Amino acid sequence: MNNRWWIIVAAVVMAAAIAVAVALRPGAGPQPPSLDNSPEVYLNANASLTPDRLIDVDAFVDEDYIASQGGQLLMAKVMTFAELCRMQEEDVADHPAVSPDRLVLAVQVYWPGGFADPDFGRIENCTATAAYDAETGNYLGSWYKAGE
Amino acid sequence: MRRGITAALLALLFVAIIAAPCFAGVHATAICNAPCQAVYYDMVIQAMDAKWSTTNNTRFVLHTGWVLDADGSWIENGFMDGAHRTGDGKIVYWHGFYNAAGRMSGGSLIAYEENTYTGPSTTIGTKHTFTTMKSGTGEWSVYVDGSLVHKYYLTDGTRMEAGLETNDPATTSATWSEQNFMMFGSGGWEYWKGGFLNNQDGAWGLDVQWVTEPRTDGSVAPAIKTSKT
Repeated sequence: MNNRWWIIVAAVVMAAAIAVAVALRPGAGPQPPSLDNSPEVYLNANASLTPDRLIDVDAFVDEDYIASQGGQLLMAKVMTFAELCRMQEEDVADHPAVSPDRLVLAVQVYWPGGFADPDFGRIENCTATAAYDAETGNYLGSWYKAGE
Repeated sequence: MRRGITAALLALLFVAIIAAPCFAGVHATAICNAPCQAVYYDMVIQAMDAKWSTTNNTRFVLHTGWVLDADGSWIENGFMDGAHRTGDGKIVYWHGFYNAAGRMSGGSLIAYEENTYTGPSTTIGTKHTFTTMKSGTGEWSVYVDGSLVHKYYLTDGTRMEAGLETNDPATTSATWSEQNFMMFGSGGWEYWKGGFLNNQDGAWGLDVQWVTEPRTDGSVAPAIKTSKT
């Protein structure tokens, strides 16, 4: 075999080695989209709203219904989202889509006979807190914990 | 002999019940058992209908991804139609993004948190990405379309699951594709290297099929199609 063929073979081997090295280098596998830890806030601050712009708490919270379901109303109060997170021992920064100064209605209920949900099943002897947007009444989420 | 076999079967059933996460619905999903520090999948919103009404107000159907730890605690991140039962006992209807986490102890559910998420388009045909990533000791961050949505408590991820869940035979779902199943393990981001399908109730019309199955060398992006008639 003449030198020219040796050069071609060597070039092919080198190209294959480079391709393998590129394929196996760290981070060469599939990559999901980049992540943003400070995304846009979708529920903006509204702590300056006057009570007439907020939902009517007495009409919104039905204590008789709660009692009929076996619950004991512990609290129904409008507060900022930051105050709600402190109450739940969570960092408000863990909910970046909601402004810390968004007004929410927190409704806390004790369910001594347990709380049953169509999705997660059942928590015995449960204290649950529901959060609603105090301006629109939209449901934001709930915390459910075993114990009083 | 027969008593011994019966006792063994009952013991196996007991272990299976204890080990199972506390899901109330039935699943048509793909599952991968592997240690992971992050999971990723994406999907395009399609039609689904919980057939929710004020008189049938506990129905739901959802497409989601779960990451679970060894004791069955879990985080879920996906899209749903149907019922939430709020902490003050109301049943509310929700169609859109949601995320949730359940914490197990000794086989019992001791805490659960759920959050709705507004922002990205919920229009049929829009594609969305879902990432759940360990971000500290016992802390996992949930992302939709790359944006941080919430953080939850979980120890170590040992299992990933993605697909459809429902709690009522009347619910329906068009065919959705949950796809590009990835995990972040010791080798960085990689496609699932193994997995199996789990259809818990074909009689309800649930269906799940591989579009591309995971290969042992992780060279193919695994994807499934899920639907419910």
